[in-house]
Amino acid sequence: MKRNSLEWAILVISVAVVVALVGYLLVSGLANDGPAMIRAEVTAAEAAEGPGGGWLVPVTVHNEGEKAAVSIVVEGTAIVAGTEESSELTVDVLAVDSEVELVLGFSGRPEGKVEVRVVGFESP
Amino acid sequence: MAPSRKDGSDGGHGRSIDETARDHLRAAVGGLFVGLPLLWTMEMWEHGATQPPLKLLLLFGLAFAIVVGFNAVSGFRRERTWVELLVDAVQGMGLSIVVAAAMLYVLGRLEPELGLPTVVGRIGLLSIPVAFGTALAATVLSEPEEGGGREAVGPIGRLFVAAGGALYFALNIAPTDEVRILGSEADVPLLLLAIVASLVISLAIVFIVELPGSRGGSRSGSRGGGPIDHPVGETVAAYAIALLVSIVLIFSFGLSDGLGLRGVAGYVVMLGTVASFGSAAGRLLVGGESGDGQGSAA
Repeated sequence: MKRNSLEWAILVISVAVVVALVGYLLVSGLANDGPAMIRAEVTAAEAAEGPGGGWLVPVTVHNEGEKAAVSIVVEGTAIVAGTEESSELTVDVLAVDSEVELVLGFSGRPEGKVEVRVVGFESP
Repeated sequence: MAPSRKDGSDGGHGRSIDETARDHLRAAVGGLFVGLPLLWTMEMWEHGATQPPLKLLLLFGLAFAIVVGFNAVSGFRRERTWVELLVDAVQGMGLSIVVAAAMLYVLGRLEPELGLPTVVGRIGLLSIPVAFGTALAATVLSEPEEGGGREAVGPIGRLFVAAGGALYFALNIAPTDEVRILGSEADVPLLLLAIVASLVISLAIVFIVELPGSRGGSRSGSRGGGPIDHPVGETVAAYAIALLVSIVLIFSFGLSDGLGLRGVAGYVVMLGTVASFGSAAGRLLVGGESGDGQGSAA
């Protein structure tokens, strides 16, 4: 069948994107077999003062594993005015090789280091 | 695939660039018409990001097969070879990938920080409903060529189209929590009622109610000798396909994880209800056997 130049261009692009998509899914599907690996870290050393006298601490959560995770609970603890205070957030979905930035709130300026940990998550 | 080809009998002649551009624009518009509800659905973004690549590949492959089958039994240029059908289908899927990617980007669902697995997963999953739209555009949105009517589709071809309709309808609701709730809360008598209702309603849509494309006049008997030439036989076969499509979707989305057999059965029946409506709607689109019984099968 005779094709004009536009049809050829569309065909070449179509083959390229279909092969790229299928190839990527195939290769990553065959290569990835491990679990999700979630890591949380405080992004900025200095917490910023939030509205109403609270303090906001930026945290980044990474998925360095080979499967996605959902309902990831991240908890941060810090000493505020002499007592331990905790702040918790839930990340709905975190795909492979992805990261998300959160902000944990505390009632006042944390004294010393803010500790963050992943409490748990669900494997979809 | 995508573009409608109105050069039915003169396949050897080239088409102008204007015609090609118009055909592909029409296909892209058809893809958007059909794909928009799912492009705007949060569960689809999440499943695109979280489902294992091989499951997404399975769904993509299923959609590709359905598009090839749909192209084989519909449209106006019926004398395409299998190679041409495959090339058309690849072109349709390619166009769908581009349309889905563009729309997801406009919606802000493809941010680079999401990572390549999420970006590719979302595009791959959402290109499926768009691909059905581009395939439909070849028939529904295009005008018949002069003197040429739409050829009738045989029973096997109609079942192929039934699978496409079932997949499209079921894809719209499979990822939602509502189906899981309906399936798990329904008791056995209610599930049996849902099965009977699915069969009766799809029989009515295709063979009894006088809708465009329905075959009210042929409800009394079969044209061929096979069991699926009969309205009841075709309805049961199309329902079985709808259930099969539901099972594939439930497995592909990981919705059966942790569910017992009873839970899975409830899920399949409830999703199958919608899938059976889709299979009926798909068969309406392609009509039935022509009066002289010359319709060709896939």
